[in-house]
Amino acid sequence: MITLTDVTKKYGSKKALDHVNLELTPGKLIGLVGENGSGKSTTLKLIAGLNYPTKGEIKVDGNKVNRKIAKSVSYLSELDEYYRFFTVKQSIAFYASQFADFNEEKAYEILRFMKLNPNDKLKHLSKGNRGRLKIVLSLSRNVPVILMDEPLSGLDPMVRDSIVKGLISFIDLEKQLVLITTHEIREVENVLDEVVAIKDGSIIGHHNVEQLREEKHTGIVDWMTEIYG
Amino acid sequence: MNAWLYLTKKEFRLGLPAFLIALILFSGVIAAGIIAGNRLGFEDEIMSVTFMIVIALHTFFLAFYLYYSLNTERKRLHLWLHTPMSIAGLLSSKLFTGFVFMLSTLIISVILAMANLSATFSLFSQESLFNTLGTISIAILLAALFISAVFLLLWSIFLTFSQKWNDFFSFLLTVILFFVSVWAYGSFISLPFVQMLTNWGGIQAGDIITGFEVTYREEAVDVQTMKDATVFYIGNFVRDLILAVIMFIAACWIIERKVEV
Repeated sequence: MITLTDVTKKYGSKKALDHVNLELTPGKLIGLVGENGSGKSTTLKLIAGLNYPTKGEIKVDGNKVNRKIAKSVSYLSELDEYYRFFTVKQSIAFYASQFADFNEEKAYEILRFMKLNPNDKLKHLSKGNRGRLKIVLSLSRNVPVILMDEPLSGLDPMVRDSIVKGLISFIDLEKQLVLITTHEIREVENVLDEVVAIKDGSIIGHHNVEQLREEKHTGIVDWMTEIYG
Repeated sequence: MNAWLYLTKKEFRLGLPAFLIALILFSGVIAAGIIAGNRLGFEDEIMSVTFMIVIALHTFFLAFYLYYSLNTERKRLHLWLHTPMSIAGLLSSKLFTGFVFMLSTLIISVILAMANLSATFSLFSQESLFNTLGTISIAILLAALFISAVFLLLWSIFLTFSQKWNDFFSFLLTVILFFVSVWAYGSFISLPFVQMLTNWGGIQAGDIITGFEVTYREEAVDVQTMKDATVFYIGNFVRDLILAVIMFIAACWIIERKVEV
C-alpha cells in the first residue's frame, strides 16, 4: 500500500506537487496520467525515495519512505541512461547481485519475450531495445511496488501493444502494485485497473477504470479530455 | 558482501578511463623527461626528477579518480542511488577501486625511480633509498586518502547546492566554503590547547632529505643532498585520520539525506 499524506514538493519556488493526498492499494495496475510537467515523474521519484517531500509524508507498506525503500520498490526511470560497458546478460547479473529479490529466471523469460539478445552490448542497443531492457530489469524483482516512468517511450508503436499485454503476464497482481506513467494512454487503457489524473501538481481525479466505463460510459482518454477541459 | 564485490567489479569498469587518463599523463611526463634529458644531456638526472614528479602526482590520483567516477555517476544518479546498499558501501567501493588503480601505478613508479636513482647517484645506499621512497610512498598514500575524503565532502556539498542553484554558482560557493574551512581548521590546529592534545608520539627523524643542490659544470653535474632533522608527531596523523573519517561520514550523510535525483 502506498500513501501520500498532504505531500508538497517544491523545486526552489516552483511547486511540483501541491498538498497531494493519495492512497494506492496492492494488486492493481494503476496509471498516473497528466500533461508534461504536471508532477507525474516527481510523484514516482518521491515514492522511490529518490526525492524528498518538502512537506507531508509518504509511506510504502507502513514504512516512511527514504532511499532505502529501494528494498521494496522497483523503479524504472524515464531517462535513457545506462552503464554502456555492460552486455544485456551482465546487466541482469549486476541487478541480481544488487537486489536480493531479483529473479534471474524471470528476467531471462521476459528477455525472450522482448526478443533481446543477452550477449548484445548496451552501447550497441537501439533506444527501443534499451527501453525493453529497462522493463526487463524492473519487472524481474519480486517487490510489492513497481514504479514505471514512461516505460513505453521510445518503443515502436507496432510493438507497444504486445509489450503492454506481455506486462500483465509478468506481474503478480495478487501481491504487486504497479504504478505507471505514460502518454500512450490508449495502449495501456485496457490493462489498467485504476487511473489517477494529475494537473499542476494536484490530483484532479482517481477512478476505477471499470467503474468509469460502466458509470460514465467513457474511456480514460475521453475522461481526461473532459476533466482537463 | 557479494553485492559490494559485484558493485566493485562495476566500478573497475566505470573508472577504467580515469585510470587510462592518469596512465597517459604519467607516460607524458616520463616522455617529456626523456626528451628533455636527451636535449640537455643529463638523461639520468632529469629522469630521476621526472620519476619523483610522477610519484608526487599520485597525491591527487585518488581525488581525480573519484571526480571522474562520481561525475559519470551524476548523469545517472537514479541508477546509482536506487539500491538497498548504504552510501558508505557505494562510496567505499569507489575508494577501493581508485586506491587499487593508484597503488598499481605508484608501485611501478617507485620501482622505476629506485632503479634510476641507485644507478645515477652514488650518494644513496640501497637501504636509505628504500627507506626514503617507502616513507614518501606511505606519506603520499595517506595524503591521497585525506584529499579524497575532502573531495568527497565537497562533492556532496556541491551536489546539494546544485539542486538549488546552477553549477557555476554552486561550484563558487563550494570553493569559498573550502577556503573558509581550511582557514578555520588551520587556526584551530594552531591553538596551543589543540597542539598540546595532538603533539604526542614524536618521532625524531634525522637526516631527512629535504632537497637537492645541483651544480652544473661543463663536464659533469654535482648533486648534494640537503638534509634536515624533523619531528613527526603520530598524534597529528591520528588527528588527520579522525578528520578524514568524519568527512567521509559527513559526505555519506549529505548524499543519503540531501541529494535528490
